[in-house]
Amino acid sequence: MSKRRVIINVSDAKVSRDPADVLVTYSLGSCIGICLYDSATNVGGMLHYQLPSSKMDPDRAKSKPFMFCDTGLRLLLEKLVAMGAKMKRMQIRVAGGASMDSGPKGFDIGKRNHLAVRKLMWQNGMFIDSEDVGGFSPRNVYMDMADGIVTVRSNGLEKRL
Amino acid sequence: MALNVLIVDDSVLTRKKIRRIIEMVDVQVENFAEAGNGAEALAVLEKSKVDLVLADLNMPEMGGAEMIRRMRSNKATESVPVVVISTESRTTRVKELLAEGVRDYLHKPFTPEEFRAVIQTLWNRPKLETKNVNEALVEALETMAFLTEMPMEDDLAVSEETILGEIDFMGARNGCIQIIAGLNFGKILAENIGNITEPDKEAACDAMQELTNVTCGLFLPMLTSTTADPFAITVPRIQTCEDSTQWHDFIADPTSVVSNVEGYMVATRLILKD
Repeated sequence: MSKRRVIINVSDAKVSRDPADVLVTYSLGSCIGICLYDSATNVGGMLHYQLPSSKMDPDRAKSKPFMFCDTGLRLLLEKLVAMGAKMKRMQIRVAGGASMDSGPKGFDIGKRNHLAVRKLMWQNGMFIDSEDVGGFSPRNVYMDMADGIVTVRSNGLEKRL
Repeated sequence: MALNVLIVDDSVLTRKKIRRIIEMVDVQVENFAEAGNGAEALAVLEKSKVDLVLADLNMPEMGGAEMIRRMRSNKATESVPVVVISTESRTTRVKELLAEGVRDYLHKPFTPEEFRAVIQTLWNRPKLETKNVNEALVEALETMAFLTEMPMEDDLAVSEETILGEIDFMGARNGCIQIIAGLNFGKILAENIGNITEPDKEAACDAMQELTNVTCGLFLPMLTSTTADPFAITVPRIQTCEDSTQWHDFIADPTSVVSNVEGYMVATRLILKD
């Protein structure tokens, strides 16, 4: 089966139920990529967010909800549930949150982004099944919609999450 | 500073191994002495200057525990540092030894690297400061409450009721850790830890108590290289204050460290009592 690449940009999210799709997002630096997949229905989605909380800029969150962890994840989960996915069945994999040089000194946005998704998962009663976070290098993340397998590429190395 | 080291073990091979590792580590030794049991070691201590004793426990004639007891009851030898190297695996026994003043404990069999770590910890004994407690606090906050430290901002203040958490530790070192923050921070902490909405003052105090407990647990391993859990700790105490007086008194102490935790001021202090 030939695969179709579905690209998720920065401050963006996409869903799919097509086994021929591979969801992919590039250059996760301090941003976080969240991959969700329900293997019973083959429904899944990916979110690439930049900032931890919409409280930082509520006006912007209205026009760009996927820029923020809280608004982005809520919308993505709503969409996945509407497509037939069950929260309890969801495999959740997280990547990104690196410490990049940009940004005010001492303000580790990568870490804050990572803590934001951990907190939201805790609030939603969901576990993070695996994660590849931190460090200093950007990551590309791929999720194969045929089986939900997530792969991370960074520094020329590839690993399954 | 060149050391005089006394190695006490009934195994000649083990004494040889220990001596070799010390020579490999970058520690200057003026003199090596050896003893096959506690009685021989005490005889060496009577005649010569010794800066460090490395001792097994299980030896014929006089074991390490009895040797340590006699060293401690003799003014001339009571403060000579002792590191126990033994097969003893009972945590309670190791704790007792450390409470009796043994500086560190290494379990046999040990790798050269493990031994090196003990020696380096001993001679590069970290100068403990409140900032070490602060590091433990940051780790505790990230893990249990998803909160992180941010750069300090000048206009942050604590003007409301405050909660002070305090916990004592006893063992190889003795002291107290204190953490103080405003009631609103305590509520955020409670909200994040327990995933509860609209936490009350009781929940905030509970959260601060747990934060103090966990911070202490993360801080104490910084004090020693042994994995044996050598400290006893008290149940954390909580003290509240209706206004910010308690906060201002706390941060007036130059040893306290103040952090900005996502817009809330939190301060820590380490008080050493040994």
